[in-house]
Amino acid sequence: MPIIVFANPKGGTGKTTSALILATEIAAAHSSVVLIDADPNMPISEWAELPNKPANIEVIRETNEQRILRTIDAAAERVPFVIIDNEGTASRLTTYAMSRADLVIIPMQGKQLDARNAAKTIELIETEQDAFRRSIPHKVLITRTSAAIRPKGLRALQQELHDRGVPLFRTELLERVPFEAIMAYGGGLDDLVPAEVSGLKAAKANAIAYMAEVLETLQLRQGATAQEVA
Amino acid sequence: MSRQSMFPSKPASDSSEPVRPDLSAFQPRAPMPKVDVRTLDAVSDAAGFPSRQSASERRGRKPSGRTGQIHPKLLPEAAEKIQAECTRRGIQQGVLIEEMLALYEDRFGTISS
Repeated sequence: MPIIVFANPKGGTGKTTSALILATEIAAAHSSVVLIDADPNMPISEWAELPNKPANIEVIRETNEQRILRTIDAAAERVPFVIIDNEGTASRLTTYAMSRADLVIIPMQGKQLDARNAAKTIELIETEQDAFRRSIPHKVLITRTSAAIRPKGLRALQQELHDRGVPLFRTELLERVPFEAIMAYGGGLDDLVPAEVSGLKAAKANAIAYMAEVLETLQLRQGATAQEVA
Repeated sequence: MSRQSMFPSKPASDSSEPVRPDLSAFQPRAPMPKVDVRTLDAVSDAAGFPSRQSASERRGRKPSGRTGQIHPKLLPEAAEKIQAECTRRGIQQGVLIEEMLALYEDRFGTISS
């Protein structure tokens, strides 16, 4: 049912990692996911070639503007969750994907340049909302933060986002070895061996908290839609 | 979908392992209404998210390179068979004629043009 789009026109903000973590966690919770790789660099498709890809995750590579809407619609009619990972560039493909989204997740690191590009994404969402008179729920996800250190710049940035009324995930996706490991070795967190990867338990807890907040946002969205209809 | 929490209030047998939610309430969706692509394009361009596809990609299928033309007159039965075979395979008549030429050259040798 939910179509979840990851977007930020800047590269290296954690779009692919956060999309992959969400997809593998949903798969680990025994639901089915279509993961659409809309990035011409094909990071998700490359991950799918590695061992241990869960059987309930189907990866579709789709970077064609003429086909992306049909691909999303067809996937949403087949499986409960559709996740779209976009390229780190300002592209019409992102706009198309957003037009179908139940939730747009905007990953960013705690850096001003990431924040400027996140703002650009939010501007696009707002323009699209106005043009189609449809609410597109969106939230900024802070990624690659340190569990030990909280830089002053990050705190200031979070305060600024809060003051501007930008919806922000309470959960941050921390810089964790297991998150990098699934990109490198394939599969999900459950496929990693605790003795070989440090911080696996903490990474799992972080991933589940992140998934829980995504689901909570989707539930709130569904509740709001039901109220609008009533 | 139920508005109740999807998360169990108590952890499963191993309390040290985080518990994953029950996602069975999420199901595939009914077909969605079509979106006006021209408006989307305008919104996208105005927000600084332009098309990244080349003009040739946007145009649709790639050119086949088949620019040569012949105009043979055939017996009606042969013409009907060619047409029927092309329809069955979903190919242009030129493709079938090229295949015929390849078979001919296999049998009788390459024709110099």
